[in-house]
Amino acid sequence: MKGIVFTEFFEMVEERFGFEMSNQLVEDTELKSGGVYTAVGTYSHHEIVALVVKLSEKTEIEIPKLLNVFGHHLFGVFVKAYHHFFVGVDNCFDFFKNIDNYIHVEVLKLYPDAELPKFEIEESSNNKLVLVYTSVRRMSDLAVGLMEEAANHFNEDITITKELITPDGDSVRFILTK
Amino acid sequence: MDKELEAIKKVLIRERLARKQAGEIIEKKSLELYNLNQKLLAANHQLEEKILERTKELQEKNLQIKSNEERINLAIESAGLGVWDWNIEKTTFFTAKKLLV
Repeated sequence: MKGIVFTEFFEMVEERFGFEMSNQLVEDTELKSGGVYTAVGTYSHHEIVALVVKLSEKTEIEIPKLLNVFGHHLFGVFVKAYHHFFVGVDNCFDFFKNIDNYIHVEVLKLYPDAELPKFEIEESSNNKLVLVYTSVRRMSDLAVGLMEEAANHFNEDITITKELITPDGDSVRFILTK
Repeated sequence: MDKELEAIKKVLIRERLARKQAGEIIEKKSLELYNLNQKLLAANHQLEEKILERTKELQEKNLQIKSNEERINLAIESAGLGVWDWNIEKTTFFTAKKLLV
């Protein structure tokens, strides 16, 4: 998983819960990386899962809620870091339709063997978009947070409904309506 | 406050390690890119040489064809003959002017 996810996770933790929490989180979670992350590195996705689980324990906030908040935070970061993706895009549906291309370039440019999440468009019209998210990471709650924040970014009101395609959440259908 | 300072110190140490790790990754990746680029340049150079070689071969073949043509024309002219060719598929008809007279 891309390092930026980890560096931003810790930034969010530090902003919202402080440095003590951030430090405790690393000390109390078993991490192969030792809790040292850089945006240009790539790390096991098990580590982000372990960190989120531990943060949930410590803060008593449910995991889906944490992932959602993190999604909101991450989108803000992406807008700044990857502003070129937003040039000429004026609504979130158009942005989502291209999401696969963005992810692919950004992840593969440094790590050609990376395992990527996939967003496939199943249905698309002016006020409805159906996306199928497939990822071994099972981070659909994070994806929802990202999409919600994307809608905020474009000043749009959308409703997101989530349907599990596979029971374990490897494959999820998002129905977005305006 | 002491506790927070202690935490910040530890976070800072990790940040420093991360910075070093980032430097190493970028160095390694840029070396990979450099090596790939060198390979591409070499491949490009080879392709250009091949193109030159092929172009030269084609030019030689063209010259040969031209001189053959000249020889045939000379033979036909001096024998007082005419040539015609009817391509049925393309429905085109070629003939020497002489035959139209």
